[in-house]
Amino acid sequence: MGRRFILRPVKEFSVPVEAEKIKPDVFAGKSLEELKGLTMYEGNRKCRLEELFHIEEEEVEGDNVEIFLEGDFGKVWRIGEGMTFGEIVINGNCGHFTGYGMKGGKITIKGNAGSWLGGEMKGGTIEVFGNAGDHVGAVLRGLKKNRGMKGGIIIIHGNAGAEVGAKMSKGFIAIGGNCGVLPGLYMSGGTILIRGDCQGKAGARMSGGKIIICGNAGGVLPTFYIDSIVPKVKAKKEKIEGPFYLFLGDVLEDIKCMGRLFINVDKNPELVKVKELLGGEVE
Amino acid sequence: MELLIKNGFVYDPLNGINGEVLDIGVKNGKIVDPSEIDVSKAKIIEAKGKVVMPGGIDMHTHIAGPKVNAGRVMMPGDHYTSFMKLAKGVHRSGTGKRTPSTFLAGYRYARMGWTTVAEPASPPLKTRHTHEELNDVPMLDKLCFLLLDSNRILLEYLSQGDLHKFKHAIMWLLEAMKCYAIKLVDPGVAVPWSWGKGYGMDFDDQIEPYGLTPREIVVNHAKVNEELKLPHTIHVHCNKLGIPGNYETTLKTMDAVSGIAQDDFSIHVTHVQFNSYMGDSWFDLRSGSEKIADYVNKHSHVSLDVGQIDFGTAITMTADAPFEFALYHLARWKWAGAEVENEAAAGIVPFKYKKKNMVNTIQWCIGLEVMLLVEDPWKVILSTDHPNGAPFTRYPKLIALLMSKKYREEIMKKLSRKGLKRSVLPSIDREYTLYDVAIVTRAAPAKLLGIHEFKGHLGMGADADIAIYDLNPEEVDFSKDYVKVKEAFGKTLYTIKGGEIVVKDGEVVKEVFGETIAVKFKERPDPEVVRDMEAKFRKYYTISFSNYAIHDGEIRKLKYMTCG
Amino acid sequence: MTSLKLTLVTGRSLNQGRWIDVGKLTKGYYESVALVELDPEDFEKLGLKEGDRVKVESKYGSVVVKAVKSRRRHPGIAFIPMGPWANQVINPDTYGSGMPTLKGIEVSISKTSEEIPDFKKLFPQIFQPESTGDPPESATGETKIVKDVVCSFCGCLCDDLEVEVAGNRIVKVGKACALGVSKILHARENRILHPYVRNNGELERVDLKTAIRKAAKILVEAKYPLLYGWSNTTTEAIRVGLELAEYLGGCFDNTSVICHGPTILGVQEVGYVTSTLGQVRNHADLIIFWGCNPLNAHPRHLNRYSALAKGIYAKSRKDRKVVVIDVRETDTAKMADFFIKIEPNRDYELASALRMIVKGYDIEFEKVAGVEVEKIKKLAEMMMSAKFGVLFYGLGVTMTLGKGRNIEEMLRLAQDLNEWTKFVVLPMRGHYNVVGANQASAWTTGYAFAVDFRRGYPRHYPGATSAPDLLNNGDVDAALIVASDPVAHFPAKAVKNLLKIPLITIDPKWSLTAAVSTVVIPSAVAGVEVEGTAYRMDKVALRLKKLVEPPEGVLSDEEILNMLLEEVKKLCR
Repeated sequence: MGRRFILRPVKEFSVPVEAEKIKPDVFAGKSLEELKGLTMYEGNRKCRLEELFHIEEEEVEGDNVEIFLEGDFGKVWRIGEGMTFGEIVINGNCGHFTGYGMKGGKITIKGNAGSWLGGEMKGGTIEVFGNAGDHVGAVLRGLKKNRGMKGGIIIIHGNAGAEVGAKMSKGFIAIGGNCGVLPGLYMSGGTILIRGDCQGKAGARMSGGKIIICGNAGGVLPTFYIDSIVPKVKAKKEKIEGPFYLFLGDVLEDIKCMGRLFINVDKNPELVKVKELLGGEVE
Repeated sequence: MELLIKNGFVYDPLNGINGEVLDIGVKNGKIVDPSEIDVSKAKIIEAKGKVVMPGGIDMHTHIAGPKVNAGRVMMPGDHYTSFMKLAKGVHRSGTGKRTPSTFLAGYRYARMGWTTVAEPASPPLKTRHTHEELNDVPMLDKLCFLLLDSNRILLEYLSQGDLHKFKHAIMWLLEAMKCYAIKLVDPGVAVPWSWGKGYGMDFDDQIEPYGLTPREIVVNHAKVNEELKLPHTIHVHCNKLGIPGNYETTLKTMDAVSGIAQDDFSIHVTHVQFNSYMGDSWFDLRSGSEKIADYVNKHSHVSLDVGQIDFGTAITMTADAPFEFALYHLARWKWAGAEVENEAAAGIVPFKYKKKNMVNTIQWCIGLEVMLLVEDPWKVILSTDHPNGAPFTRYPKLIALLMSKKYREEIMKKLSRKGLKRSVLPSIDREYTLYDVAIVTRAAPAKLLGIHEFKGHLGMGADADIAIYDLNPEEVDFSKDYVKVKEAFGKTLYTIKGGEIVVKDGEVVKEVFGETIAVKFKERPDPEVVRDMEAKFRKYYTISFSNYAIHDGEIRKLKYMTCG
Repeated sequence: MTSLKLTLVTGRSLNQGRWIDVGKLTKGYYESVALVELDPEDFEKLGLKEGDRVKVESKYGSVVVKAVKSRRRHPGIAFIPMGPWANQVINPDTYGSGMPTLKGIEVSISKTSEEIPDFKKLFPQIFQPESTGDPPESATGETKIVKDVVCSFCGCLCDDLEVEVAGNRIVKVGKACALGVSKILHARENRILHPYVRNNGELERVDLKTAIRKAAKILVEAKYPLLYGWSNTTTEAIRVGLELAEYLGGCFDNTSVICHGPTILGVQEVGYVTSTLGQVRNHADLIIFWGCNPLNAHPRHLNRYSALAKGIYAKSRKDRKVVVIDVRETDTAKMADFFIKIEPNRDYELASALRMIVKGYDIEFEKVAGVEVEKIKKLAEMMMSAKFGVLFYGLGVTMTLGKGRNIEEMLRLAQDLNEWTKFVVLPMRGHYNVVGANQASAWTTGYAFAVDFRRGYPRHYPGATSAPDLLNNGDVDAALIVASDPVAHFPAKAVKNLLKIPLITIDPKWSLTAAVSTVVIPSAVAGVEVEGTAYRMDKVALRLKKLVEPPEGVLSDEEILNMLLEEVKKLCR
């Protein structure tokens, strides 16, 4: 029999709540009473879970562990941190570091997510129906590239902030709306798909992997070289109609320029001069 | 509070005590005869079957100052997952392993039973900063060494042959900066480095525009050291550090100052492992430890500390800027370089020592080889040149390695076979005794630093800095039970600092602050020399001379040691 | 034309700098910051006359200010000095870096007849104190000249000032720039002379014990207090602040977040190559100012440390080449040998291009960041062939899109150049002891700013634990502000949330933050009335002097914080 837990905040939080224990790995095998006594932090106050959240349990089909978060979890940090299985559904907003270091399982966020969503992710899926903050799928500062996202899928239907997928080496991130500056910073593998516009500086210091920008890219860094114009590009199983400029780079990170930056031709009229470099005429 | 430590196996080499069962009395922060203790009021510590030693002394560890702080900021990864939580009323919080925050550095040393440290390199212009950080290092007594080799004013005096001004300027600087000893790092190299040159500078190369050689710098500082009767010798990071074949430069450096001190030490060569390489390139690198140990065995004027590495990430930080720049090219990650006007230049480069790497294996072997091949343990000090070789928290592991050939062999199984073939360690059988360990971590550093009147021993009148370890020398087989040795030295049963119990069962139970010890001279620096220094200062520096010196009140607990 | 689309840049101005130390609630301050400087042609296009007002609108808010015709040409760029009027329209978003976006914001400007909002309009709870000047008893006394005084205004930390003191009064300040003179000479003006606690909407005078008790209660009851500021006080005080934040389990952050926080972010990724200012003065034959305007923000910099200073090898202006890179031709740009006008928010691109040339890679585009590649090549060649090059950079680079990554590229550029020649980078730090706040924070906690203690140990997540983000999100429930004025300098969105929570201010002067606080505690002016350490922009530590006594009953920040810490510990037992 599967277990489903439903949590609701008992009040409106005025300070961040740290809930790294809200994940299937911790909830599995515990009774409801034990869960009510789990240690959480409201600001600097150590609390029991039940002081912050109503918690109920339901039986469901299957044998999964599901955690449903109902309400505004916008100030609740670290939900699902490091989880390896199971499902979390947030029927509202959630705070920073959601799914950080996640290894498996699924997190669905109906509202908006904070920053550092799915950072250092190794597996599993995260889907956000609203917007996400900065550093989606990115690793904390100052760490080596091999600490970035190594697997997993992050889908954001709305917009995302700056530095999406920084230091990523594997995995897939799709942004339905727009994103901030520097997506794919220091990327060495994996795919980032941006269906909307980008604020600029895409693919900075990338040495591998693929970035696809369907809207306006906000300019291209000088460290990228135009390779060709392609009619369409594949992102996972999806074929996206172009045409797209294909730029290779970032030469400052790796002279081999194995990073591929696809930029929609029609949505980037300011780049039209690039066609000259390909030996074509500018229309 | 009075203490009586009963029935412990006491190791106090400065007083020739080798494992005798003795009682130790503590009263008013000093060691007293046990008979003076009022047993009804004192705290009795039962140390039966335990080892009692004076508190450890690390004479070369980078834990405070501009270079270290830059290292902290530059390596946030060292801080994210290594931390200590606040214990209200007991101790502060902190983060970091290789560049621990100052409070954490003090607590970590105390947990291992260490009670005195020396911050080994601070340029005068930045020493106010070093002292502000040292003020926030708890649990330990502190000394600070002043970086002088590339000092513009000193080099001008030296190149003019004005040894009077040279000597008095050094006196003035040591007093003004509240420092303890003279530090020379790749002597003279910061001068060519101002123009981007100087990598691989050798002992007899000319330093423009002064027409001086590192040899002249080292010899003259050693002479002044002797004349001023400084408690420690010159503390030298030799030229050509980290370059294959550099053992020759090291020997030349040692030889250059033989005879300067009558029947005494005239030079301390620091982290000598990095300066003991034979071979012409990294490809034919070989251990030069035998050459170094041989010289030290045959001469009585040289002391060493080894700078032992351990595998994993280290953060190298030295005032050898050209060397760090070269290392940056090898490591290819981060690099920080900082120059201090008219005085010095430093570099910080994180570096990973790998077990299967031939060069790193040889480096690991050399440190242990030097400690095992030098016959007299009073000449050779255990250090990791924290955090260049390894964090100081590896001392328990290194002690266990010195005491157990078996442990060394276990580790060597995982290392580069090519590297082991180029090293001598596999053939060395010697194992340190507990007495040897007490010498190289307590008694000898105290003596070499000249603080052995009050530190490094447990005789009457000594400062009550004591470590009690959970080791029974009658039950433990030090050659085999290296795991136990490592564990025991990693956390004391008790650490006592200045008569207060500060650590119990490896946990900090009380925060205290030690003293900062600085030298002072009976003779006053010649006011004419000081006026001349001021005139030069106005031309060369961007601060006012009157704001240069540090005042007594700026140091938390200042203790002067008068020389001359 | 009824309205124009321009790019807004905010920052220091000489006038603004002079008035902040006289007092922020003065007419002079108001007149120095409630304005926008427009390019003469843009000014004409909008059909303006001197004295007209304009409405400045951005995606984040709008404000009415006075329109001023600029002395220089900078078509397309509008400049509002930093302050509460600028903050109504700047971008509060930190893009995960901790620093709001104070420059490079798209705005629309149109002539208006609406009034310029005054202090009361912007901050309804503002308290207008009685003005204070020199205390009557300090008139005359023994005169003495104190030499080698360390100036406590900007990161230059000039230490050659000569101050004439008569009794307890500062009579004259010599050798300082206008900003330093203002700070020291006007130290006694607009002072807070008593502690206050807000009661029924008004600030009431109380004694120090009451104020401390009330402040401690607020902080202990808070579940996540913010302790912010720290850059205009001694390192000794900062250390107590760190201990207090740790004990309370709050967040400790300093003004790097509106200044050089991005520098620290850059250093965290790549390290840095730098030197003290004397190395620059003595050796540098190529001096580059990128995104900074020392003639306005660090007036003595050029004479003491850089372009005009007398060094050992570089003896005068003619021994050096000066390059300025900026979005508009500033005063400093006017004296440069080579000026590069860069498109706003494209510093990352330009730094990348320079690095490419240094490494010998081809650039395919004709222009990068709005600059012809030929010009970029010229600059790169100047850099590679210099004997000792230095890059000074300021908020023009830290505050624009890219933030810490912009700095990362400049640091990398310096590292790359070291293959060719000597090259160092120096940040133009603003406040005189922001470096001290960074240093003390780093050695105490391991992190230089945005330090969170709520889990019992230091953690650092700029973008999440940095003051602007915490305030933008309304994540803190109490704040202690020391030696800083966030109400004047933070984006309007953050200030709105700051005004919702209990606010304690420790400050010598009636800053805007003090005037809207719940508890106000007066402190002495460091460097004039209190001794202590401060760190220069190149991290050299100097000792600030005490010249005169503080007003009666006014203690130093360090003393007040120690009292507060003691009271907090008492309440926690």
